[in-house]
Amino acid sequence: MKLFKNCVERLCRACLVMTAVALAACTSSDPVQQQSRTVASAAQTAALVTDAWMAGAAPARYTAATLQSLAETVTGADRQLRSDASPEPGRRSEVSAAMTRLSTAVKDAEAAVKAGSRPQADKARQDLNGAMADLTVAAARYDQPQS
Amino acid sequence: MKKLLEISLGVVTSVGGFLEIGSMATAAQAGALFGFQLIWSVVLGTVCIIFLVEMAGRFAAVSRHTIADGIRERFGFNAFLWPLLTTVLVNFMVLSAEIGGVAIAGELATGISFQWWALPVAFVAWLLLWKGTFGLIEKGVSMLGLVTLCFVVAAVMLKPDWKQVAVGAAPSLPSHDTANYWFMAVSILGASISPYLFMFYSSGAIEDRWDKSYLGTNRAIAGLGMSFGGTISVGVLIVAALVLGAHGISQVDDYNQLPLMLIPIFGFWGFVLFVASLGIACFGAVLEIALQQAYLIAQGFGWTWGEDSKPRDNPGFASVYSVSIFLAAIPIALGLDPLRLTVFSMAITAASLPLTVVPFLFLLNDKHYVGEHRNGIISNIAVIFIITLGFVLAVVTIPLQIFGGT
Repeated sequence: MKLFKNCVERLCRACLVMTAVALAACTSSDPVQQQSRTVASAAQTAALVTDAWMAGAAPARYTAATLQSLAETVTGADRQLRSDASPEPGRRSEVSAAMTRLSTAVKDAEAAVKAGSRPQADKARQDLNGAMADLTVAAARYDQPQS
Repeated sequence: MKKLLEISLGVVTSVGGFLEIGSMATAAQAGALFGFQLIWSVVLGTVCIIFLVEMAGRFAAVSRHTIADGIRERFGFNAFLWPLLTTVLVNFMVLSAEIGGVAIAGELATGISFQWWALPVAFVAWLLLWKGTFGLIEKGVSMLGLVTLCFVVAAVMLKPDWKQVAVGAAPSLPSHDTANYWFMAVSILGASISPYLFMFYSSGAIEDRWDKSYLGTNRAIAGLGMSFGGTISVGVLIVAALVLGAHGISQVDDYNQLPLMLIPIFGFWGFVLFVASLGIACFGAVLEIALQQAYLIAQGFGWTWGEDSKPRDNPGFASVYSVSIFLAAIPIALGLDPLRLTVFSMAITAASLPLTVVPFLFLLNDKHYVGEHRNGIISNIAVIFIITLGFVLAVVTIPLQIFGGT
């Protein structure tokens, strides 16, 4: 019993020291890069779920709910990006503009699914592709070192 | 012949009961972001749980004590209080996450928001525990859980590069998102080495009246059942890597993304299979964890317990699972995101491991309890390794939660 207690106490002390080391070892990445990745992933999900709906493999209710949730994610990331104080507002606004276009495309896809309109969904899908390409370019430009 | 049937049934129930929202969500997130690179953590977690489950079953079969009983008796109530409180808290979070899993399945199937499903799910689970027997809970629901094998079928149908899968089974350092990589590794380990799994198993052995003649059965169930169960988790990870990851979906932080793992493979049936897998697997886990809470507290306080007895004969035991289920449903009913809760609770589970695993080293080497069936050198090395792993996980979980958590 005493041995067990001592063992636990010593290990707890060792844990505290290791926690401090682990905390120091961890680093967080740039918020613009982080938000861009979140939005890119959400956009790819939107494309996949819209394709699945158009192929008759995903129910409309589920597709619409997913697109609605994804639109909220994109809008939230965009809002957060705009509220962040950044030393490079010009480059950041390009990323933000691409996110806004993406958000609109996802909302259009959601509206198309709710209306049950395949042509409308097809159009939203094309807009999604364009906006995703814009985001990729804007994010890559943001990553480049400024001359 | 009877033993062979028992082994088969035990293996099947272990397989059917292995996957739950924790292993599903963590494997999906890991596969989407890191491809096959985190398969090693599923393999490691599975090997660890095989050892712990075998020891828990052996301890119960030989000593006729559950692990919780043994800890309380061997170390005294004061020492037992810490693992008791920690496990009750961790179980509570995991129970809530599992109720969330069933609720999400309800939302996906009907479109009615998951919050509305939490209390009905809790009620149905409670009713089954109140009216049902241990056999029904253990075998009935786990048999239905075999639907989760669809992930293994899907993984095979996707024709992965098996060489790459094998490479992923060996630990490697990440090339990107280091904190996230380790956080996911910790979460997968937490989902695989759940204390409720081995504690429930030891209580189940007592419920099923195991004795020394069941030691072979125990070894076969622990080894085969958990290995096949781990294979399902690897299946989820492979499918996530080849479907979500390949489509550029690197972040799985919305539960609506999860059905997309199976839809491109099975079409509309993929959606149905996913909803059924999630609902059944999580419902089975709800029943097991709620029972485990009752076992733990009843055994800790020396109350009478047993799922096969009428609730009026075990009022304390029945009250604990009743209260636990409804309390755990409240956070989900209030709208707490089940996926976030799941990932968080898996990490906390990993952090709590030392408190529940350290006693194994003492109990399984105590002649008074296990006599000649004490741990051999391999089992002792395994326990020491798991304890060390548990302490490392306990240390790194919180910093990783802050920097790598989703």
